[in-house]
Amino acid sequence: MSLATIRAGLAARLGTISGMRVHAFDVDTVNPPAAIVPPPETIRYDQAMGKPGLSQYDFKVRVYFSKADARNAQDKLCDALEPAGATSVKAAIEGDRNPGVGCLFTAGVPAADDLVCSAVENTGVYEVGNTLYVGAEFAVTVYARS
Amino acid sequence: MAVLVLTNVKALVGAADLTGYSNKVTLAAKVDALDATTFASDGWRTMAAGLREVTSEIAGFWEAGSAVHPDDRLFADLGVAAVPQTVIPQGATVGNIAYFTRVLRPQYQLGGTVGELAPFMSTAVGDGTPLVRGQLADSGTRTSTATTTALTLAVPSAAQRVYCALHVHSVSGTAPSLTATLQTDDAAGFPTPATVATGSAITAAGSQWLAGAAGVGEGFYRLSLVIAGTAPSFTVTAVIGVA
Repeated sequence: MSLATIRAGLAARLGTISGMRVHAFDVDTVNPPAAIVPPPETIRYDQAMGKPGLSQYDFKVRVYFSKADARNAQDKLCDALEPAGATSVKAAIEGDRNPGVGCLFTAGVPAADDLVCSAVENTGVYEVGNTLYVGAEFAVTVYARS
Repeated sequence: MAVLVLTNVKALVGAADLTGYSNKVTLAAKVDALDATTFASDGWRTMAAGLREVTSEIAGFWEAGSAVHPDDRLFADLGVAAVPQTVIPQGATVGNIAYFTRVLRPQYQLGGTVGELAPFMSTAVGDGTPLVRGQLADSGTRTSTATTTALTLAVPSAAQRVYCALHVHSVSGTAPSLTATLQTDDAAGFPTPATVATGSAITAAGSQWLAGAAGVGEGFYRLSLVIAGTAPSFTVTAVIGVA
């Protein structure tokens, strides 16, 4: 388990949303609908004893939708904010959790022990590369042993 | 010497190494202070040492699935006495200070708040076995007969004994067998090793407690590990001390 595989795993899960263009890194321009997995905002090491032990990674996953049509943009955003369903970002991120085994699987290998998409914050208008989009930030906490 | 940030406390209960699951380990030793004051005490309270006891708490993140996971291990140990428990504050380097005893486990608790990592907490009390402050003697995988690094510890007084706790975390191979003998000598090179105690053959994951006779020990200690079988492999942690 590494931070690189965690970010790749999150990107892969977001890629299961039909039509979502995913970047496993911060970008200067986007083509909506787009999801961005930036580096974690916070990492808390040593959550359990041992070397290197259990780490907690707090991500802010961002999604952007075209603002060309205000109502359509907000409808698309709200579809992404749903707690469940095919368009739900939360459901996509948490979609391959196997309690007691792991999550964010690639070829059967988990990138993390477990995760939770606990909240959506800061829904509104974002500017990326001089273009305005409607978007939101999803608080995602990932627990992994290195 | 330097102060220590707790990040790698090894916590062993029976066959289970709970280090990677725990985020809190405490060990408390207590001696009753008995009032023996008389009129001849010259105005000062006179205290005498009474009974001793040890209590321990381990807490962390709940996991289950095998005998070495905290849920399987600690739930099975509820109400069971004579389970070796070892705490090594500085991690698994031979020679590190280790505290070990045998415990009875009266409490196991799990469950928490939605959205948080599932926690567990368990308390244990000494079952009458002394709390021993010793050293880590061995940590790792053993596949053939060998002796561990010699440790320099106290020569036991007439009322003291040499103790060893052996935690066997996993075993593999065909007809594997490990027999541990606690040895002592008066020189680090062990030119004339003497047996302090010998354990029964270990053929599966578990734990073992060895105790020598009172007053037996010469200052240097090690384990002789006799291993038999086809492609045998034992993952062990062993600690030795005098109390």
